[in-house]
Amino acid sequence: MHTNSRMLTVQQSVRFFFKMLFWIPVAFFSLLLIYNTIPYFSFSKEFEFIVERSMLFQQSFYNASFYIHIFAGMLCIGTALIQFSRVILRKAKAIHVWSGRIYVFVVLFLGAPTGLYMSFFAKGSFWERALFMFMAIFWFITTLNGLTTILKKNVLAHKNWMIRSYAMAMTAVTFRVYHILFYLADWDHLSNYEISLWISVVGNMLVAEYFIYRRSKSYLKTFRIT
Amino acid sequence: MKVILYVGAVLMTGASIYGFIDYQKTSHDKAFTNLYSIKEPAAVIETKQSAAETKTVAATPEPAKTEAAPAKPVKAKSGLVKKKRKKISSEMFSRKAMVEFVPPKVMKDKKE
Repeated sequence: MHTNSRMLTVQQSVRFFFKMLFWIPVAFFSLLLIYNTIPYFSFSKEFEFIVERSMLFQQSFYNASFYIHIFAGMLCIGTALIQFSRVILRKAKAIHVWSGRIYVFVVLFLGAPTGLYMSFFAKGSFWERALFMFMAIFWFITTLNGLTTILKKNVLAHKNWMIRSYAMAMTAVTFRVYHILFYLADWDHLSNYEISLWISVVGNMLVAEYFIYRRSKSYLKTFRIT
Repeated sequence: MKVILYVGAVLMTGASIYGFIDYQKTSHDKAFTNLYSIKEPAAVIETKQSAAETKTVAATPEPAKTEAAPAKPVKAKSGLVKKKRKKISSEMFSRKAMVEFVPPKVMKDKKE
């Protein structure tokens, strides 16, 4: 009995360690993204990202979409950080519910539509623009399915769909990590941008599906919304 | 729930239609097709100019070409070319170009 309990403790410790190994960098880079986004709300046009697209920012609709999109992104990344906490879910469920409502509202009405509009003008070839469009639509659908399933009290399905939605939101974070890594590896700018984009989207989706596969008895049934 | 679905669907549909229309309008613009090309020299957008002025402008050298080049490697005393060490900062954690972007120059009208 003592040996079993010790083994359980070791197993729990290992699980906790790997959880922290995942969540600490995720939280750090998410907060860094939010920190780097805040200066944009000075509405200065001197940021390199804006200078590079100065022609597009002369259009008032694109201009407005950009600021709405980054505001939505900040809220999404910030609220999603606490959504996967079991402690909050057990002890303060209202925080999870309200934070989730903010996330869903921001994604469905702000982040995804503005992202879809701006995808037409994204950097890269036709395929990068198509990928951004796919991201916006997939993000919308997964978030909507996450909302639908929890309203039908299907908690397991809700978890799976929100994992997929969060994976899409996190492409903003993982893209930046890969972008810096390939920059340090002396890749040319455009190739760096394109490969970082593809790896962040496909990689995040694969990681999300892996997490869902590990926790589900029947993986194919995780695509249900009823 | 249905309201959320309809409003979201309308926004997404509107965004895609509006984006497509805007894209069709701007895709013919040369400035848009060259928007993200960093290696090319800074494009000079000429506004209204007389024929005499264009000749004098063409004769003068353009310093902008050197600005568009990426950071040159530093020459050491021995003559060997050393690459500059790339520094990482928190500001790099963004979607901005890692190479210094030179915006296209707009030639102003020169009135005599």
